[in-house]
Amino acid sequence: MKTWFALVGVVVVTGAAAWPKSGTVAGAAPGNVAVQTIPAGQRQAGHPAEKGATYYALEAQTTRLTTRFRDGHVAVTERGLIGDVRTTVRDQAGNERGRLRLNRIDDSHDTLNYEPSDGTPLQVLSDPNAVKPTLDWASRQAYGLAKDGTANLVWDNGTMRPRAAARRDLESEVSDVETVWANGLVAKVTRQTYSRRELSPGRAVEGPALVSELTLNGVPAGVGVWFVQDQVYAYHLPGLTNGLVFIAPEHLKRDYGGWGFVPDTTWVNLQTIALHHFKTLTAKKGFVAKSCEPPAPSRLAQFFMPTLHANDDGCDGLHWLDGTIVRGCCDDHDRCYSKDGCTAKSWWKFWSSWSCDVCNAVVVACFAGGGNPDPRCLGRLIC
Amino acid sequence: MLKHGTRFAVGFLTFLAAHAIERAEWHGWFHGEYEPWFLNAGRAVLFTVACVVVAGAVVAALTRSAPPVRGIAIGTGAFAAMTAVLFLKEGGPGTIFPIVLVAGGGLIFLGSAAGAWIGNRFGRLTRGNG
Repeated sequence: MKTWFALVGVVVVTGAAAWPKSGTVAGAAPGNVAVQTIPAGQRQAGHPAEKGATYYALEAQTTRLTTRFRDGHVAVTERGLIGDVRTTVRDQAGNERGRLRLNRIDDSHDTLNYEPSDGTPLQVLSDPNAVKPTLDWASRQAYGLAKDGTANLVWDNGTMRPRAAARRDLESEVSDVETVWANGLVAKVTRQTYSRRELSPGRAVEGPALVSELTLNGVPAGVGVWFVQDQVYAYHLPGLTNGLVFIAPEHLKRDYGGWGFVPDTTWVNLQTIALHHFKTLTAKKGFVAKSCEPPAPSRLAQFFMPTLHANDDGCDGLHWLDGTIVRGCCDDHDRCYSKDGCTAKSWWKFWSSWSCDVCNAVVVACFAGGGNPDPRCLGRLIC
Repeated sequence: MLKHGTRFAVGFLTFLAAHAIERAEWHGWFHGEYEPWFLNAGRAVLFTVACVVVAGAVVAALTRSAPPVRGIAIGTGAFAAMTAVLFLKEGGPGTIFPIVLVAGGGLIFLGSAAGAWIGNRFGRLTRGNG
């Protein structure tokens, strides 16, 4: 018996040692860089304390950002066709205080030209390790230089400031921000204070809030609110969401421990714009279910929510089944309802709309048929 | 010796009690992400069905006469409460409420039938008929 145990032990130890490790490549010749593989299912997320690639991809579609500061200064930043960024800062009386121009050299390097209205022009290289050349960064940088001057500049947490000047809390100095995005979407965030109110049973919010009002081609299209002290982001997009939707720390706690960064005025605008953009795409093209895209926790780890919440409609009153094969039935039904303007009343007011009756008949058939899944989903076994 | 009306009331109150507990502990025990409703979280489904099973078992154990489907009255009561809660809860019944009613009703009636069977067996054992 002991012999058998010893033999099995040797086989197990030898096998474990010889078993190929995932993520390694054998036989890479010296001088060549081995290709690094990623084991199936391994999550590849960005640094949870930073805004992710989705954020910057969407930010790149902002064409103009107008930032108004509490002291009356206004910074207007525009993005040119070749990626250059130009900011003009004016004081409360409308006098120009300075201009900042950011020119791209290559993928990661930029030159910065700052021309104060009453001083010597400045030209520096940006620090690619510290600076993401967003419109928001350019606005705040130009404001800081206009207020503090350009003598003996140092990089401090991604921003240039005079060595002798104290670090500014620029976010607290921002009064409101207007973000002009592609496709006619414009969001304007202002600071407001809300009295206590319940978003749902057990989840109340109150106090200071960043309120982003969204317009599409000049017509009101929704609102997004960041409740500062409760750490809750709530939004409502008429025609695209059923009532108010909110994301609270408890929704992020299990996987990510909460919000990994502090949402600011620019983020609230961009988040609200992106939600409208993705929800519209979902309603028009149904890309979520049809492309078999699963909920995307790795994108959530980038702390930019719209891609996740484009998926989030699910099965009303039956969310227990959201992770099952019938999820597609619910998403299709939601799109069908959205397209034809149906409501829950369409079930008993069946004479009011034949198209709504078709939506309802299809979802019943879909459930009865076990989800009638997209064949591509079955092939990949991920839906 | 319980009458149908009493069993209906037991089922009705059992569902309401389960729903009240789920609301109170929604984000804690039940890991709920959506609005509190027993079909919105797996643990809440198990909890509600377990409550109906226990209620059905207790009532069946206390009842000497044994109709074949004695869990129906309790199930009907719980189903009535479920329907009321579904339509009265914040946000309304939702866009697929008939499917929700069928799914929830199926679970509740299965639970009440299972509870009645368990209670019946237990009652017969304790009375020495089994």
